[in-house]
Amino acid sequence: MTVAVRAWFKNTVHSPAWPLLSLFIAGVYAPTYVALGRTVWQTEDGSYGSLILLATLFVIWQARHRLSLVTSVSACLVGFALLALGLLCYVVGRSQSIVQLDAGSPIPVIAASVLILGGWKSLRAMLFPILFLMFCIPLPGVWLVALTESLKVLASVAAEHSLWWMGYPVARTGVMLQIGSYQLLVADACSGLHSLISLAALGLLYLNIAGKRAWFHVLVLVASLIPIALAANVVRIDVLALITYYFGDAAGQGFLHETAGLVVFAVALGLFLALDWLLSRLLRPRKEASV
Amino acid sequence: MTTGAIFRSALVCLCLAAAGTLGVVLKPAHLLDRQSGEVDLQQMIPATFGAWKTEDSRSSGFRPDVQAEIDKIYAQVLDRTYVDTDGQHIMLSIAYGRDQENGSQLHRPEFCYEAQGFRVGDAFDGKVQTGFGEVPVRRMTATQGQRIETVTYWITVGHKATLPGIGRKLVQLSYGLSGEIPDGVLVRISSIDTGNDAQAAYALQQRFVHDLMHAVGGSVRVRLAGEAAA
Repeated sequence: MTVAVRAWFKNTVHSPAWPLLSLFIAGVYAPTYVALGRTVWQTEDGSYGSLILLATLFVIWQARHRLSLVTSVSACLVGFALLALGLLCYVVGRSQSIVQLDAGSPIPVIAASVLILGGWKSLRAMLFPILFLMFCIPLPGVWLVALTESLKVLASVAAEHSLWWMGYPVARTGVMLQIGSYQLLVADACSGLHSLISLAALGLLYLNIAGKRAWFHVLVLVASLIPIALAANVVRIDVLALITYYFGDAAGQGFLHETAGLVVFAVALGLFLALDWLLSRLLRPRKEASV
Repeated sequence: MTTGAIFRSALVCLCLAAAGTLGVVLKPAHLLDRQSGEVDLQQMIPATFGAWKTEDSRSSGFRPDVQAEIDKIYAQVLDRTYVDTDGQHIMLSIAYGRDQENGSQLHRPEFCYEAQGFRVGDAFDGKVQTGFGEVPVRRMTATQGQRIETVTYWITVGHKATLPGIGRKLVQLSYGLSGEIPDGVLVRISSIDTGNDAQAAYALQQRFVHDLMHAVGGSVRVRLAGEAAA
């Protein structure tokens, strides 16, 4: 009987070591993520946060079979050093309300715990979801303002040039576009920062789930994320400018405003997937030839 | 092997539990503000002093949404225009925040001006002599069409004058780790620069700060400009 129970235990739960650790990590970080959920993730600038956390948990769960309980002295030494550093960040960040330290600390803390418990091999298996938690760190206010501001100017200039190139009567002062008799303000929400971060997160998640690819393939795809997101945002502004030009202000600010954003994001994602497909086709024959 | 893993797991969990506890225990709970009495900006800052007297208070001229944001963040805001015997104008704006948590942290005037449609430029850091000590200040020029506004500002966290950025964070941290929640004061002095001479504007603002500091008592001085200027 005891043997049967032991065998069942060994085969299903493997060891209570991982569940125990998960429980404590969840307990320590519940206040952090609840606080984020109540503040930053409620705002437009951080609304993607909860989805990132869910995706991370999903990827960790998917990779759980690759965890082991074999460690080494070097892994333990590095692990405890990293744990001390991570928990120091946690304690200071949590108690002093420094949200970047608080939300950044799970990266070293979880990495260290995995290292101590399961060695370098387990850390390798968990590296992606752990690093993915970076998307959960809210951007510091100063960065957010600076990024939004420069992206806005970039998008306005690009929209002006592209509309001009298509032959429309367009002029620009700062982030204010004049098309025909209409004036459009490229507001903070039009900077494209949200779609940039969301597309980057989704793209990386896709690359992780979609399986092995040549390093060159991955490099090209990752490098393509930013230009695709920026271009998509310019297209969105162009489309809205043209809707305003042809159908008036009300049309440009109505439900089409939201819809255009979603459609263009979907197109950007489609573009990314198409590039992935194209690269697979281009890289495959060469591989077969070499075999 | 398995017992080793459980031992390691338990050890890590122990560290986690300790950190979790410290994170709660070390949270500052003591409002610094409470110890040094209530704050009433209208009363603290005299309407007339030296060569200066308040001009009929105009509206702050903020857009309604910006005004709503200001009301949400700060416990008190004082907006006054002073004019001296030579007819030179100074706009004084003091914002008081009870704590410096993320939601109610003093905002940088740079962002405030930009939100109003100003272009902010020529920012640099300097010092202002209060007659009692030096205060670190940031200076900048905000432009909107024909209007050029020359701005000097600083922040006082608890009893220490500082500037936004790392300096402010460190002051806040030193209070926080000793268990205290500091309040915050933002002092902004600006003038319309008609002669396009920023240096003259800064000199005028320096004189205003000097006169103001001499007109208020020691405790108000600490509130406004920290202990270094007391």
